[in-house]
Amino acid sequence: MAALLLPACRGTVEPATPDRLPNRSPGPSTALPPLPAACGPTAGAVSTSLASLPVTDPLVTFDSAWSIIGRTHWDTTYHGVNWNAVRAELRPTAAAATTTGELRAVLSDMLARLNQSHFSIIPREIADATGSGTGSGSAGAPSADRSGSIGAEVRYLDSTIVIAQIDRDGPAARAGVQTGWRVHSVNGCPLSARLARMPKEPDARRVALTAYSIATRSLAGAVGDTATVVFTDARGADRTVRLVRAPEPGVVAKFGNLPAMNAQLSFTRVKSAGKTVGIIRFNIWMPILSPQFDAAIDSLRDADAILLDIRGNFGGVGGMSMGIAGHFLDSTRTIGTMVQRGATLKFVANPRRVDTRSRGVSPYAGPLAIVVDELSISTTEIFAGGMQALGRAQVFGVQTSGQALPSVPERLPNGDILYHAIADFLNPRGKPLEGAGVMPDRVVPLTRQALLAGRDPALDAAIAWAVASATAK
Amino acid sequence: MQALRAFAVASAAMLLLTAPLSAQAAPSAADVLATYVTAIGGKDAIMKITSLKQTSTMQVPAVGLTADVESYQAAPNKMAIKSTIPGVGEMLQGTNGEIAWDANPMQGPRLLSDKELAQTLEGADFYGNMLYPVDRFSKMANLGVVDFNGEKSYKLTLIRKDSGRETTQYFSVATGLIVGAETVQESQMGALQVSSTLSDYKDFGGVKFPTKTEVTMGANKLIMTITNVVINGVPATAFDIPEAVKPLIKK
Repeated sequence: MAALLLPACRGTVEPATPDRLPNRSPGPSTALPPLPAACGPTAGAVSTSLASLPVTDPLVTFDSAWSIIGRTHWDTTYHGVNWNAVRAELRPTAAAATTTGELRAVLSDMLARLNQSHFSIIPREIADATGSGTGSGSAGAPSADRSGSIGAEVRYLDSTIVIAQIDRDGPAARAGVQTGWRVHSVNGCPLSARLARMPKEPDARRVALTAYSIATRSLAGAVGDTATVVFTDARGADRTVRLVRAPEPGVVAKFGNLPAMNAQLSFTRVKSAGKTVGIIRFNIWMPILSPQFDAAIDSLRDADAILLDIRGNFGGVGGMSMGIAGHFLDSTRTIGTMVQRGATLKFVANPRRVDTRSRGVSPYAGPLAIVVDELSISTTEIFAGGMQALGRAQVFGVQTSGQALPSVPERLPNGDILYHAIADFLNPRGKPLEGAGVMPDRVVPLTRQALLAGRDPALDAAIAWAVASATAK
Repeated sequence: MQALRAFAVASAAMLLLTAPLSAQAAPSAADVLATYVTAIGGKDAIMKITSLKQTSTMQVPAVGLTADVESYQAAPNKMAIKSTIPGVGEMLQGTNGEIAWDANPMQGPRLLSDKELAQTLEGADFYGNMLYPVDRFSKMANLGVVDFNGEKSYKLTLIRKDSGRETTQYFSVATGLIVGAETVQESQMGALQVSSTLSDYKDFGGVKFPTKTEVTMGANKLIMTITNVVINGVPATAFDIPEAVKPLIKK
């Protein structure tokens, strides 16, 4: 199987240090006031259910994790880290671990030393959850079930959490929530209190990701549970809205050891200046969506231009990027290169010349726009960066996350998942995506003012370009 | 002094005798392969097989995936593999002896070409892969006895005539069975060093098959476990070109 995994898991948490930046070293420790009582356990504590369990043979798991990295890290200098010294330093701490949580903390510390994306521990209770929901939490206790949603996407703008998109038929839409509203508190817990605990981080993209994670964890809960959310509307007035969480639209995707994830794909047609632009949105690169994407392309073959909105798409199965790219290429092209230890593999996209009904077709040849943001991660960056470098797509939005290391989720002896990168990834011009990410051809930031006005600047710019390109063609 | 000279002459004679004896002790590659054919059941038993269906599982421990695999082969050169992977769907690979295909839900269908095609056709060489006829190889050599996975094994280097592909194969001195192989696998993504160990031989229809194969490809490891082999009776339709592949074939 050629598929390599390149996800940044939404389910990935580091249980002992829940407010740590995902997959990164913690920032300097600072004294913080305690969270208000309404906030309950620290955000991100969804994995605490097994953290207090006694651990047996902690060194077996520790040594296994250390060896896997030692064997598979593509850089034999380990990103400048003395890997043997890390083992010598942390092994005694691992040996002294008496609970699963303590062992996870040591493992997370070890991985953080590499200071690279896609290294983390996924607790087994998250990896093995089916994603179908386990019902409400007991009274007063937060539920570990987070399959329910208020039906809205958020972004971190101007140091606050803002509603950026609303599901048409979701709880937020039914309650009259508007894009651009600030999320002030959830069930009495002010988001600002949680956001204040974010570690110092110079990279705004990482801050945005951490803030997003905190906000989505706060807003999610069991299906049927009620979230009392205080918003700040366009006029600066507080609005208290009770939202009964509903199942997220889409399907639950489970792929190997990865946690179950909600996979959504939708497409629509927009008419502008006499041209038709097909817009496809999907939130994750899971193979379960491939047939849906193929069907969307079939439906949009007659469109004058196609726009892929992959903002907030956290990545997924890398092999899928080649198949999606093939819908837009008329010859076999390489969208990037994966550099493993002892092997260099090209991500080759073949033209998709057969439709979903097994009929011969030509790949889509019209203008292609891709919209990304700081939460476009991993496979999303591989795809967007590849298509941009090949000159096949114009990219709009803001610089992507820069977390694009091919990785795999490997089970450790204690049942937890070691999520670890196994390769570097270079775009078709030989430039690493890790750190840099993808810089759009047209940088169009999102603003709260635009959201309050019902506009989507990056999408609007991409549509305008697509229409102009189609007209000029 | 004379005694010393006599000892030296005797020693030299011993050396002269020993060298050819050692050479005789190491069988030729063709001999090792003939022993292998005998060990798995013999040419007569193999030639009674005209087709087979293997049912197996393929585990990818690093990812936590297990695929169900149905593999069909028929003489002289047909092969079709259907792998069903949870969360992905059905992946089809095969050849009818002329063209070879790969169709999966993530990347769509494609026809194989160049080295990939040549390697797939070789992989479908039904009797060639069981009988090791010398006419399939441009070079066969026994490099001697080595330790492979704790087992004394003959290390053979074999170069296929058609593709020029070189493999190193290990045959147990004790059993004659193949226990390992190393080669470079060509794919559209690039060349990949592949090594495999074969074990747990079981008899199906008078021929032994290794029911466990562990494959290491770069940083990845696959474990193939055969659960059943049905000898003969594979319908010709098993090798039909998939509908999704047909539009790619130039008339």
